[in-house]
Amino acid sequence: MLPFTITPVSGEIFEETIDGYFPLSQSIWQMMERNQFGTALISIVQTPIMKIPDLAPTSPVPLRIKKGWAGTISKMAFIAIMQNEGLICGGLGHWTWFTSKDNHDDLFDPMTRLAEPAFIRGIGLHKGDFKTKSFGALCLKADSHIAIASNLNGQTSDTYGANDQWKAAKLWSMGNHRGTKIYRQTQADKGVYFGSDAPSAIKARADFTNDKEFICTLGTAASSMIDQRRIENLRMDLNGAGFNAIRK
Amino acid sequence: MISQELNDKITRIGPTTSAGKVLRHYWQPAAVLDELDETFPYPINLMGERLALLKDAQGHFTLATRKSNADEAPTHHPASDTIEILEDHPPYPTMVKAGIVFAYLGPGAAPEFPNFDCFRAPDSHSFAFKGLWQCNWLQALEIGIDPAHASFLHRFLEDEDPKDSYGKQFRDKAADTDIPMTKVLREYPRPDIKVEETDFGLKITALRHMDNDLTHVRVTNQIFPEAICIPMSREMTITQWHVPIDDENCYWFTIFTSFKMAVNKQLMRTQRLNEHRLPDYAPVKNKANNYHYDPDEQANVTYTGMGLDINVHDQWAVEGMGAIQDRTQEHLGRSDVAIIRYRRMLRKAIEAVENGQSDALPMYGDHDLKQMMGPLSNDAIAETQDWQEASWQYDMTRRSECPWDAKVPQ
Repeated sequence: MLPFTITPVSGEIFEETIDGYFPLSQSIWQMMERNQFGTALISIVQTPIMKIPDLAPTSPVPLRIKKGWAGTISKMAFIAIMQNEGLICGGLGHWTWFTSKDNHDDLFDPMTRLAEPAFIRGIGLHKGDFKTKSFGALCLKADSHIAIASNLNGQTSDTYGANDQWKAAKLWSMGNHRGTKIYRQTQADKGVYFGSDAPSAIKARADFTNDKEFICTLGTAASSMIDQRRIENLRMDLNGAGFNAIRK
Repeated sequence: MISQELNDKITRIGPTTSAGKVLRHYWQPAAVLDELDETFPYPINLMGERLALLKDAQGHFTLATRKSNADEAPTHHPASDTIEILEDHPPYPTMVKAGIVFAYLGPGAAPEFPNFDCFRAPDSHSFAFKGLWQCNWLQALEIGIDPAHASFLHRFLEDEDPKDSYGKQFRDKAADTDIPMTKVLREYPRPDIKVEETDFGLKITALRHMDNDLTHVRVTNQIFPEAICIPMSREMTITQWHVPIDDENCYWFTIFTSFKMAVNKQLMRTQRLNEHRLPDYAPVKNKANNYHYDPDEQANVTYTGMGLDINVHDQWAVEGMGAIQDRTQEHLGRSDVAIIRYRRMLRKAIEAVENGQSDALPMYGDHDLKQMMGPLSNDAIAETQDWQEASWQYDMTRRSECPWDAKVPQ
């Protein structure tokens, strides 16, 4: 018995370079449009950022910057969801401003501009008609190696979902910080979670039993080397924690 | 468009600087054996430090700190009998590889060398040289990991007979065709660029989609922290370090590695000595003489008008950015993807060293450096749908025909 249902959806484990100099949320929006993602878990590490006072978010960045301040996102992970009213980003991160009092801010402003193009990694879920509670409308795909794991309303399952070919799976979650904001990560935050060794262990963790949906990657015999490497790289970017999997 | 503080962090290389600490975790080329005239101590200016190479009776080198004046020129080359060794500074260990004396200026035990082709090839198939560029090491490196620049900066308006191409970059035929490389670069100037992180750095693949569903595949590599490995011709690869002398000057050190045929060292050396001045290996063409710029040549022969040696084109481009490129005013684009990936890797390495996590550095930790071979570095022309297999197969064929052991794990 699994402590949730698994629904395969169309998606990909991606690596992308997003444009610099725009606000982060704008560059993420463009990336998601380019790839037809409705939702994506995104990791950014070691990325320079800048703030230019009195510059509207829609204005082009000037050729020469005469005032402003700079910083770095050392590590950040968030789930971005395309909604009619705009892009919603919720997650955790570490960032530093070199010359500003803002280092005590608990929230990261997604309108912060990138100071150069940024390489990002993540898991993207394609837009579609299948409505989820947490991730908007996605596209069902039976043979996908990406899925939504759900234990909403105490859902469990006797089967392993439409894609019964997987041998192991990982859950990806922002823990208690799934929401609409990017918070400064504290020592109390565990960061991004990856599931656990067995369904029973997952069930025992409060983070995974609280009426939630999770992005899930399924390991199948047909998983490509590229995807396996990309998952490993993503895991390393996120927290370098040990490999945890749900095994069939 | 990064801040001055961040630019300083990734460019400056003194012993207490962020990037300097990262670079010191790796072996650094200090001298080519060819420049040593058996008169020791031999002055070496490296990583902002004033040093001198010593040689003991058994022929082993060590690199010691020498007394110097703060206002010495970056390439100051004092006579051996005027060099005073500072005995209170422990000497740095050295290792001779492929005609270059490498030195380790970092903390702890020196790491092993990876088993790259340039270190495996026998002396007969290897040739080393160096040259001075008057700019920061990072901009010198970054031009080498930008596959798009070759179609512009190194554009030749006419194609040379490839039989005159020996020892010259981009002047051979492309792969197994009769198409000159200069023509490929000229006619297909906008490559698709793919970048993969590897255990040693980055693998950079430039795809130039040609007519008839063919694709030119050029694989180059960034070897962390400041080297590149690129194809020079069908026969040879170039492994090149951009080694800081100080913050505003660097030497390129190159190992030319030949697969099938022994290297004609005499010709290679003569070609390069015609372009450089000893003892400091300063280029004959330089900023002071406008790099011998010739507008007629620019109109009819080359994109730059600075002669046929592509090293001069690169030298002009990177020195023209200033002693340390002002990245507070730069605007990188999507084609700069390898530069973006490299800087990310460098900043991660800086953070790792600052946090005392040297094991997280590329080629540190659990890697078995004896098994780190290659890297694949070649040009191939293939049917577009088959470019990956063709590139790999081309490399395997070249290795199988090689008289020295160039085999790599499958």
